[in-house]
Amino acid sequence: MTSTTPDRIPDGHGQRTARVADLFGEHGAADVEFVPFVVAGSGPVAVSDYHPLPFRALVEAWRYRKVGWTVFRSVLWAKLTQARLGPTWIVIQSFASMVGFAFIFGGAIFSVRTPGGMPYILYSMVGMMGWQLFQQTMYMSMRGFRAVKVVQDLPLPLLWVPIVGSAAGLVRSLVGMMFYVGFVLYFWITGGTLYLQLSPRLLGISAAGLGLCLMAAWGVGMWLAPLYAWAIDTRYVLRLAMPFWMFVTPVLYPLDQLGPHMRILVQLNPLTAPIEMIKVGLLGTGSVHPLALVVSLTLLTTIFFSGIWFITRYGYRLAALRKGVDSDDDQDDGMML
Amino acid sequence: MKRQRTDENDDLGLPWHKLADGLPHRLKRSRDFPDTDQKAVRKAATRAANKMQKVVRVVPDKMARNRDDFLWVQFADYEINLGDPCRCGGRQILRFHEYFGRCVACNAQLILVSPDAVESEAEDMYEWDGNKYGW
Repeated sequence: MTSTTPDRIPDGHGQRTARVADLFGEHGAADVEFVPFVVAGSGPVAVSDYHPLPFRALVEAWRYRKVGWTVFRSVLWAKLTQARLGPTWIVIQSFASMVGFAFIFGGAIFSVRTPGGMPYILYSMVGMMGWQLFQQTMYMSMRGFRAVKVVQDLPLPLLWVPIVGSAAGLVRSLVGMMFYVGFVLYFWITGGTLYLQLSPRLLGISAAGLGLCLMAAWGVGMWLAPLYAWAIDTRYVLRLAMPFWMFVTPVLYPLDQLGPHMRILVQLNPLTAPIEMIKVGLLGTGSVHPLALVVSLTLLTTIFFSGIWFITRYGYRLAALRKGVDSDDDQDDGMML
Repeated sequence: MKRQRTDENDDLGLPWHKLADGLPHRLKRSRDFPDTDQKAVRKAATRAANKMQKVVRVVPDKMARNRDDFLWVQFADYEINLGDPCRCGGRQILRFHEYFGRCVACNAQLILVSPDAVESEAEDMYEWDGNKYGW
């Protein structure tokens, strides 16, 4: 039988410890049942909330990785099966958002010139790939405390809440990437031009850009998830801010079409460098200015680690305020905003 | 569908020692545990915990569409009432969840029970207790 006898226990004053073997005898100390050793009158019991520092929180989240993966699959399954048409909606939404923007900016209303005369739909899809990964993952992360209800019952590190909550957003982005591959193949077969860089180095730059978009999404999501659980106003503010943020990010237009002053302003946007990295890697167009890269890396790292600090420090308290509120209301319809 | 009846001392064939690693584990009916009543699983978990001199918390999965089919199981070293010291005498508890904490002195993982829930526990120990288990 496995004994739970500790090696050392406090001596009753909470300052020093004594060996259990010294108290109960050397031989057989591990086999005797541990007798509760409660010392009365040693002052009140102090129960304090545990707030690990960001690095410690990451280590603990890693320890719970299998649980995180289980909850991730559970959240994803719940999202995929909540509508009658099931995962079909993910495909429709991804296609509509990507093609819709290409239609509007590629000729229907605006005519954005693309570098090298490539089809605008491909150009916009690459930009949208990074933007949607950021936007959809962030929105879903923000709703983490509503989606990951199990956190009320289990001590899942709060760091996991926005990550596993974003499961459907990640899948939607993945579907968008598959559409892009489909369109690349279509233009290759019909026009004979392959609008895709196959160099591992360039594909690596694209992957790094996508990684930074994901880091931004989870970093912002770690700030927003507790705030959204506390106040739905967070969503309304975001609804106002996101279109503006999208249009100051070179998602649908090339950066060099902006004037010099506007270009500097856009390069201070932390998402400019990641989006440009994706374009450089996949299409061979665009440019990553060192200023934009430094600003992006500095801000995104700060947002990510401060987000870990915020959610571990205030997440439980802010989310607990809404405990007992039925989250299956009309405010949480699974749509982006 | 008629569910299996289980013996009073049946451990349901679950690897309880592996599950008692201090982490939560999700169990699915017919895959991880037999097609039986959730109460039987809870009883089996409690018996396994007693044998290992641990305590266990078993809750249905709120996120699953059919809550009856999924259970979360988590073992801990001791269960204490909020405000009581740890079994080792430690009087400093780090609370990392509403129902879980850790003793600073002996590092034992603790299930924290609200004193209000203790009275209702005695009334029906195998019924889900909203005060104690959070819904």
